[in-house]
Amino acid sequence: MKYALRQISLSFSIFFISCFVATQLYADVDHYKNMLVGERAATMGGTYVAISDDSTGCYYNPAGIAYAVGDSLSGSGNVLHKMKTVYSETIGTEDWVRESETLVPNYFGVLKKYKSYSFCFSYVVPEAFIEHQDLVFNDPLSTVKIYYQSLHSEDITYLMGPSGALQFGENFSLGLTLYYHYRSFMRQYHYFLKSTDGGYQLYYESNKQREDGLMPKIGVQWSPWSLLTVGMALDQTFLFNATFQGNASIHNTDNSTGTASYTSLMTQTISEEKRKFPLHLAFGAAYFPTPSLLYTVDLDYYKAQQKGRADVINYSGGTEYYFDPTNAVRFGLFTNYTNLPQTDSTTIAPYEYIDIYGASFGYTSYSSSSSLTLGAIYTSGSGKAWLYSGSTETRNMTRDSLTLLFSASSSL
Amino acid sequence: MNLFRNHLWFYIFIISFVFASFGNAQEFRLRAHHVYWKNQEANTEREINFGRSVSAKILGKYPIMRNEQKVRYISQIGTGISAQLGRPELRYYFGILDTDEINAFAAPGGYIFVTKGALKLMRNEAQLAGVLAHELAHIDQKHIVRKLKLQSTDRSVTSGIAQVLGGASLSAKIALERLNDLAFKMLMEEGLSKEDEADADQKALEMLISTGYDLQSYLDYLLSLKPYLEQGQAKVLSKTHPTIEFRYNNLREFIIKNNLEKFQGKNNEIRFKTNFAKL
Repeated sequence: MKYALRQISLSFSIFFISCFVATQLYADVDHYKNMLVGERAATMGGTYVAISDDSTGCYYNPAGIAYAVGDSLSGSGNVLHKMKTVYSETIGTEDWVRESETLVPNYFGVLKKYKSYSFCFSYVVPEAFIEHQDLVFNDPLSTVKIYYQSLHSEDITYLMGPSGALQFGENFSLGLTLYYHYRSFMRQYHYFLKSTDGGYQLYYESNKQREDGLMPKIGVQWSPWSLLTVGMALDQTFLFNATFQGNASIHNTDNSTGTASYTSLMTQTISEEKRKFPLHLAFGAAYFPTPSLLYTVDLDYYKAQQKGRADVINYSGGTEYYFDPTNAVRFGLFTNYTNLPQTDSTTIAPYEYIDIYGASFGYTSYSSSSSLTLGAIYTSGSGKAWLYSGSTETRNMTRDSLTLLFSASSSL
Repeated sequence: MNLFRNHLWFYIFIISFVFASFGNAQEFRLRAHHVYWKNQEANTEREINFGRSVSAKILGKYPIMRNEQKVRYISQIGTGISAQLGRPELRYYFGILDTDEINAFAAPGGYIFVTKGALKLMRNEAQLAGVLAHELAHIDQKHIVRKLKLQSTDRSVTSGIAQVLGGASLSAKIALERLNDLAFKMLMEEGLSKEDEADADQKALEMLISTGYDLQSYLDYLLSLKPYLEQGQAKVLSKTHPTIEFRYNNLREFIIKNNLEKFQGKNNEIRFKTNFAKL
């Protein structure tokens, strides 16, 4: 009996640990607002649909660029985007901590303004997740002597393309953006597990994927009366290529029966399956009581197009205040709800259900022809994670991120 | 119904235009920095236009010397000094007034004139640089515009002048003419305040230091004016500027206070004399 329990315990432990690989294969496809783009926009919680009157508007609402004050060149870099996810008591009694750190310039745009129409070319990185992790756990379970894990992952999405906007009269504009969507994903995962009876398990995994697609975006802006603007933007990404290749191998030595046995398994997965992106409809309103103050709110509705995803509505709000003509501050709040359906007693791993809330702050210094912005965006959320394949067992999880933003723009 | 469907896009287009016609202008979207710099640009343009009309009055009183080589020379010296100023939006113009009267004038917006009489009195390039720097300081500090007391409630120095200069009505034109007269009178009769002149002299010294010119040469030039002022050969200058003693003492004090007695600068005497051999 004792022998049987030990056997079950060891198998279960190995099973527990090795099944991490099934979780969070990609960056964070469960949320849509993981990185905020731009200088003004990002520091107002990504609330920009009813404003969008600079080159960042190409991404939020191309109709807004019709109201740009003049030609401009803008660029921003996330000095630091750091994300930390903690799964409580996951490896034995120890927490599993995953950290991602990226240093990606996530926006560049050049805008040319003519009388009633504007053109823009922009480059955006709306998603970037880079993770390099080496973990060693000694005696994480009674049957496991050592567990070593190495995980290296990069998942970056790029958007680039032209935009154009036309102003009809003084108070209505229509804009279009056509982004080329390119996503590059690679992940290498390796673990080594040695049990107390001398058995061991080695696992290697390598995945890579490339996605190519197009993301058309159409937007309108209207000022129904002075000091107020409303905006609406609609977009959806359509992939025409999504090549995935995954290779995995596992080598296992089992000493539990007293006689060593060795098993080895290699698999390769090749897939052309294309993700179906949600239909994204964004609404916004902005109120400009004085040249020194504005308030804005956005509502982002995502209509799921893929099985296993739910519709999501995210909310955001922001404000901008000028102390004087050369110094301005901004503040924003936003939600980043999960796009997974509600969980129930039948929910099984892999699954993470976590809603995230964020706050942003920024300061801009203006000169006659340029501006420099420093900002910070903090997000935090807590929820449940189903980590062990086939199991309904959950662990508490938290996710926090901090982005330090540095961006500049210049009139041309 | 079918007709409506067949022309749906046309109707959307028309409705867009109708919506547009209901609204107001979108000036409200301009943020504080846009408004500020837009006003600055407009004010600068108006200051230049104002300065141009004041210059026209100066040229109505004194003929301009049409000697390309000499004008190019003082323009080179003046432009080099103007690079020290904080008003890159202005383009400076330099001219020589064909009169033996000893004086120099600065009109708002970047117009500077030196008289032939003053050039004759100068002994080297450092003295010319000092005089040009003094006039440039008046423009840089908007002394004339300030003295016209046209400040408005938004604390923009030139916005009051802008109100007048920006207007196209008959009353605005009359007001503009009145302003021109006041500025001209200030240049020819009343002069600026003692404080403004002292400020321009000190700023001139700072510019001379930055460009590496000899400071003492400028002080010597001021001293050399004294007999001409006493003999009445620089009537306008004597009416519009503080006494030489005041200016000289002010600059000496500045030099001592800032430990500049040992500052060694160039005076480019030969180059100056080559350019102004025949006046």
